[in-house]
Amino acid sequence: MKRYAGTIAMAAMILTMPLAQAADNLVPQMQAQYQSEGAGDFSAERGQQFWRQKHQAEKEPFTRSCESCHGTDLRQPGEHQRTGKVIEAMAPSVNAERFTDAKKIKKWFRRNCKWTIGRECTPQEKGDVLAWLNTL
Amino acid sequence: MKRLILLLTLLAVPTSLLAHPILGFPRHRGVEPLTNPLYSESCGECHFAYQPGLLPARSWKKLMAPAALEDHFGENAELDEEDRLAILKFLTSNAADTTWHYKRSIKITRSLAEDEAPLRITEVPYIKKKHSHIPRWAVQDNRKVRSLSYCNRCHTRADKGAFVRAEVDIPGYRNWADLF
Amino acid sequence: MRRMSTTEHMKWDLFIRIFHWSLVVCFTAAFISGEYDIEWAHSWLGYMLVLLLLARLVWGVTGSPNARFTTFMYSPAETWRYFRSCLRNQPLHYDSHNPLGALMVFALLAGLLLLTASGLLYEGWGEYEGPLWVLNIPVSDWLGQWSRSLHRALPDGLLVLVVLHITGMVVATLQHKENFARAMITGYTKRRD
Repeated sequence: MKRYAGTIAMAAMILTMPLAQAADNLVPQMQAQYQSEGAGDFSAERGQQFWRQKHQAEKEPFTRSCESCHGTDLRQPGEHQRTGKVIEAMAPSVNAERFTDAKKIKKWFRRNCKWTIGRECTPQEKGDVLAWLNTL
Repeated sequence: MKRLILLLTLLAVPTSLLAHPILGFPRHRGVEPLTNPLYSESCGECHFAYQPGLLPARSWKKLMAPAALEDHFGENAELDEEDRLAILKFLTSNAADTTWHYKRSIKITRSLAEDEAPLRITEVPYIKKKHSHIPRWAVQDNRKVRSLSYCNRCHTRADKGAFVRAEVDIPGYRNWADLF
Repeated sequence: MRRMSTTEHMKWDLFIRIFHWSLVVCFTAAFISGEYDIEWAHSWLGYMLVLLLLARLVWGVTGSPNARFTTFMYSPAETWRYFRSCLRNQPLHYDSHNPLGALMVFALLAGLLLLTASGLLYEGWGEYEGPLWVLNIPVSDWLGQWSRSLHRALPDGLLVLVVLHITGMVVATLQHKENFARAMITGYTKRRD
């Protein structure tokens, strides 16, 4: 039996690995990081307001908000305002992959804040938005 | 024995010629399929992951400049510096003008003047000519296609780097070959 | 030594026979390789067709009497006369092509010349390959697009001509009581007195 102990342990690790990964919601971790960058307490309500706020686009006759591409029902996939690209649902309750990859969270906050409101978001704003989205 | 050697030599000469990079036949037909997971993931996340062999290195350099990525055809496609450099390296070292074994890449390079660096694949003369006879209703006005930039909506094996006519299927117009 | 008997004489020389059957093989293969998008085979078969056609043009001036273009160039009046003789089922005899056959020969030659020329032009313009590209001969966009359309449309037209050609050959074989298919293989035909 001893001879196989290592193999069994490995097999057990491999079998449970995907489960462990899928469960990792990084929102608390990200929020802690934002606080270390100067943010205060986070509010889901503020996050929701920020999410819905409309911004005049620079070169286009219409406004932009997070909803322009993510849609109004975040449990449903959204469609990009310009390109029509399908964006998977934001709500972690229906899309378990949301907020499990720190690199992606960072990358898309940077891209989408600049595209939508014309500047990077503050740590406070990001923490608020995550607080709200995580309740869905 | 002597005869055998002679026979082998006679066979070896034409075979080695066939395999020769420039004189030989089996240059592959399409463009080289993707080999870099970082590129496939980062760019394929938003659009068809165009193979590097579809544009010359000078075009990729322009496209992948930090300022260019901030306004990537109207979208923000910024990458962190480490990824940007890794992707740029992959693109430039596999670009059309550094490829000699894939036919489409060779033709793309041939169709461009040396100082031309198109930002859109659809502006490469070879690609343009290949699509110039396609009526608007089949692509631009076809709601299931909308633009030539969505290669894989009609080229069913575009992700494998294969773009032959026989493998084109225009959504909604399966019999397109009889229509234009 | 049947061939040497006085009732048989040489109708089609060796060049014509080799040319004819090479044309059949190359055109068929080029048609299929075009249909199935086998580019390398298609272009090489095309080049062979060009060489065959050029050789035929030269032979049409320098070859044996029956192969010369001047031998089978007929006036419209003569063509009409021949056509009427066929309708009466008493066709006039010609050693070389009869006037209707000659029309077919010129139509096929012209069609194949246009087909190969448009192929070469399109290849140089749109494919960045082939003799025109190698020789750096520029082809305008207008000519290139036109060549593409022509090269797509002509093969079907030529196929119709081929069917007509074979039909004509069968009808003529029956009317003239002369084995035309054999003549294109052995070169000999029975002399009509």
